[in-house]
Amino acid sequence: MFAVTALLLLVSMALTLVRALRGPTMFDRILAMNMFGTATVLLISVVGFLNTARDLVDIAMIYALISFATTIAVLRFVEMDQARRSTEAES
Amino acid sequence: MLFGMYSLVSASFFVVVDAADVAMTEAAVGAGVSTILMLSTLAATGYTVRKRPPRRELLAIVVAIAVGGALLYGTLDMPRFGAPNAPLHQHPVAHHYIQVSPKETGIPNMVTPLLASYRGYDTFGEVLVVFTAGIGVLALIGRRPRENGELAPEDGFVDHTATRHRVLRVVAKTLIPPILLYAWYIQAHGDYGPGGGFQAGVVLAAGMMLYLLIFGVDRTEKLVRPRTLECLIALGVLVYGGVGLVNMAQGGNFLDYRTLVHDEKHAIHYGILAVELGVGITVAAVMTTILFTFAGHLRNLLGTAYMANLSRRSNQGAQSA
Amino acid sequence: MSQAIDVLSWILLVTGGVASVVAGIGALRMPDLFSRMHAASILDTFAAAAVLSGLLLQAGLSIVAFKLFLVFVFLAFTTSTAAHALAKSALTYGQVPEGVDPKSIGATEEREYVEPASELADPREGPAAKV
Repeated sequence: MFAVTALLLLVSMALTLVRALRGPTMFDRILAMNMFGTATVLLISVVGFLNTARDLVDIAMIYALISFATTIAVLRFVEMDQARRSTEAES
Repeated sequence: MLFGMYSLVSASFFVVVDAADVAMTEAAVGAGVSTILMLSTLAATGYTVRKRPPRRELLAIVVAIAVGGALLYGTLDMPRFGAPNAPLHQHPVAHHYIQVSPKETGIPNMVTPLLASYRGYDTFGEVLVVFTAGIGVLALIGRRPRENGELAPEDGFVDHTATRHRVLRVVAKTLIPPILLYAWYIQAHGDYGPGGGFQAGVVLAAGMMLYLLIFGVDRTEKLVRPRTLECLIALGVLVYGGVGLVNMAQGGNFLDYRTLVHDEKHAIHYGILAVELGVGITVAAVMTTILFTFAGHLRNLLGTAYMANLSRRSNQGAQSA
Repeated sequence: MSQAIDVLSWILLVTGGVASVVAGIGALRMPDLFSRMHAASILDTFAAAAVLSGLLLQAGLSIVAFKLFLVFVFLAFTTSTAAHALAKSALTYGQVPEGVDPKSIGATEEREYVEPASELADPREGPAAKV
């Protein structure tokens, strides 16, 4: 039961990875990274139940919080980079 | 971003082989702090990617496959994962850790006394490495220039971050307290589940980084003064080494916790708690300080560029008016 | 009774798994960034709720169940905010949904290297006004 779900989540992660590699704009890649993170959170929870080591839900919780920080960091980076490039482009 | 995904795959792999502490550290560090710091580096250095000729990329792929194949071939000789006759399981130290350590230290999670007590010197070295990284970054980049203890005169760059993203601000105010609370939970719960000092420090630093990303450098510096952080970097190492020195003062060896209090089992437990606290403090302070230095540097860069842009545009406006 | 719980949790878990695959396929096949965000939100809300509910039923009443519930709450907060931030960023830097006139939603026209459409851009109101 858990193995089936874990396998399906892995398939979804693989599809997301293809989008991350292909995506024409950076925003596609950021979106794919976000999806990958959420799928990993679910995968870690399921694998925790698979292995009867249920403490792994702690890791899933950490990751749910930290992936948010990473996404915000990437978006702020885009903002700063654009600000820098616009000032350089005008100079 | 792809680095972050790679770290996630590693963390998932660690989860599958039931290495919970390592998976937690990998998830927290690789996907959180490391990605944020790398992005700050990219933003501070202003990289541009040149298009490489496809032939070079093919060569790189061939080299990667060749080296990976050689490594895989090397692992064919190793005993199977979990095989009972592997040298890893035969060594008497392994038996001691698994059978004796829960009784000797009273801590269910075997990894924590292993890290903090049996291999205490190694962990002390790791804390010193983190400490050195922190002071290295401080020495190389430094923080925003100060004159007479005050901030350098404003160069006209007002950080508008805190006023622009209202949804992010509200949600961050809701989320950051649970993150910090959760970091403390990991610190305290390291005895009974995956956790400990490193993971707690990294998660706490990630919470501070989130605050810095959403509210801007100015408000974060008012919240946590960088001077305080620098003192905390040293304090963590001091706590760790101090426990060892107390042990020596009471007649035992360095970091031999049994001499802390009269009851041996509790002494080891207290020693481990104190040492993990030191580790957590140092790691959190170092990561946050590194981000402060990067953010301060970015602010200087953006400030000068912005001022140049502003003065040029106001000149154009004055000419056209 | 416990068999009913098992069956229910099996259904929920497999539904969550299938939903995540559907979300992945959607992210690949959708033509535009914003439609892909719709596909991603299936993963973040429906698949997460189904998988975590399935695990919750398996865990019974324990601290693990509370942690699973907290994971879902955090996911709900963070993924929706991340989607908002991503969409706002994408609109600011010139991405528009297909078939939508850029001027009607206030997005700027240029694609790359666009200045952020914010109050930073106007020099007359900035601190350099005294120049």
